[in-house]
Amino acid sequence: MKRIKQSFLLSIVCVLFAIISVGVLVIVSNNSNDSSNGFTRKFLLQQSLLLHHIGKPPHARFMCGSANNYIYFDTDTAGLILKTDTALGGIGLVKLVYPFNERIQSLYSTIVDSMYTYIMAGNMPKVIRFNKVESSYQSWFIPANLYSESIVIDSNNFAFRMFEKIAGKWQQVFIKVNPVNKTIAREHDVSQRNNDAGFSTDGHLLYDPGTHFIIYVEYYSNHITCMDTSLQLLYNGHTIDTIKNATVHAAFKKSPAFETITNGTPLAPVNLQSCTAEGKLYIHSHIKADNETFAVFENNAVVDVYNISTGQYLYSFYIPSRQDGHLTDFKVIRNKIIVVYKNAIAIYRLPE
Amino acid sequence: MKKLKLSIIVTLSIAGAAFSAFTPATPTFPPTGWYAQHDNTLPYETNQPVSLTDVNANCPVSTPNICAVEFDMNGAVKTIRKSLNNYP
Repeated sequence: MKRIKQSFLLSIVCVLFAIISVGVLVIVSNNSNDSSNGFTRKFLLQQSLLLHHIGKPPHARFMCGSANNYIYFDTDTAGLILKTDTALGGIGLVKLVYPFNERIQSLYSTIVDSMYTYIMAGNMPKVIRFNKVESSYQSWFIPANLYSESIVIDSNNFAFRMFEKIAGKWQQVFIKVNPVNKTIAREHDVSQRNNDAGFSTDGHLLYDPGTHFIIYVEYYSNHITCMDTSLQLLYNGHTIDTIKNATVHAAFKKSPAFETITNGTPLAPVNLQSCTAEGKLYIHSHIKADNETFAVFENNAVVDVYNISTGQYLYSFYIPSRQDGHLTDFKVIRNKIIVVYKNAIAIYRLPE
Repeated sequence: MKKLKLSIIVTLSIAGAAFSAFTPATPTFPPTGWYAQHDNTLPYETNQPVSLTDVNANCPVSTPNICAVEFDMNGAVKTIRKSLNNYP
């Protein structure tokens, strides 16, 4: 009887120990969205209104452009593009004829405009421009190093976030290339140098044709860089949250065969997807404001809107999260938002 | 004697809970060898294994961030890996 009593008591102590340990860990854990983040959002009264919705073709990735009342999505195979109309009335397939290889496949993005389709192959490094009308292509090797981000400024001018060795350390810098004229321009003292090959400042490079400004939105901090097309710094801005410094660090591994850098700490994204349209910058934020409830924040994708010319925050709105899974990409075209979910594509009316 | 045993168990439990609360659940890597420690004297080398599993675990599905960069033995950038891409 005594032994049973003793064992029972021990079990109770063990259970209590486990509960206390987990409880304390939960309390001291650093979850930025559980506590006050020190900022509030201005929400529009109008909400995003669902206009069209279809199941996502299994291989679709991002929306890669729109032209002549068609919307294009790239796929996980380089050169295969999905095409649909602005009412999502059926999906067609466009195949670019080019000797695509594994190197291109390993890192590429697709951009479609009214005249050309571009495959930006970061690991080649190469730009391949397909002429839609003449069914021909031109491809250019981009000198220097591989690039992680790219934009099309116009049909002959491209900007990149490219690897560059500075004082013996790999960094990433902004480069502009015109492969037709064979000219290269490089930014001066625009990129932050953290000696981590640009991992902690990883982000999304964007171009706004309306203002002719190049924008770089960092994933892991609230930092926004705005440049003109000569890569001159116009301003260093920030998103409305208070995450000034990235907490992401990279790790380096040296082995006899090769060396690798990868993220060495858990990723703590601040800004997720972003896009530009008509002088405005739209950013899907991962940080909850103090005037949002956890439930609303979890069930919607919050988009913050900024004036590109000034960097000033304007307002926010929600894109509803659907049962189709989380949002993976969005673009604004005139008064519509094209949203790619994990399992669906939807078009909403842009709130005003 | 029983009371003593019990009090030892309770004391150890509380001490254990306090220790675990201030110790990360997963062991952290040693600070030396980490990139981005803002220490220019770093050799940028760690013995911590970096496998493809680690690399893929670093790629959230929703953001096309850089997962890894591979260098060849001459120190040139060989391959950039990002999420949402097919790796051959």
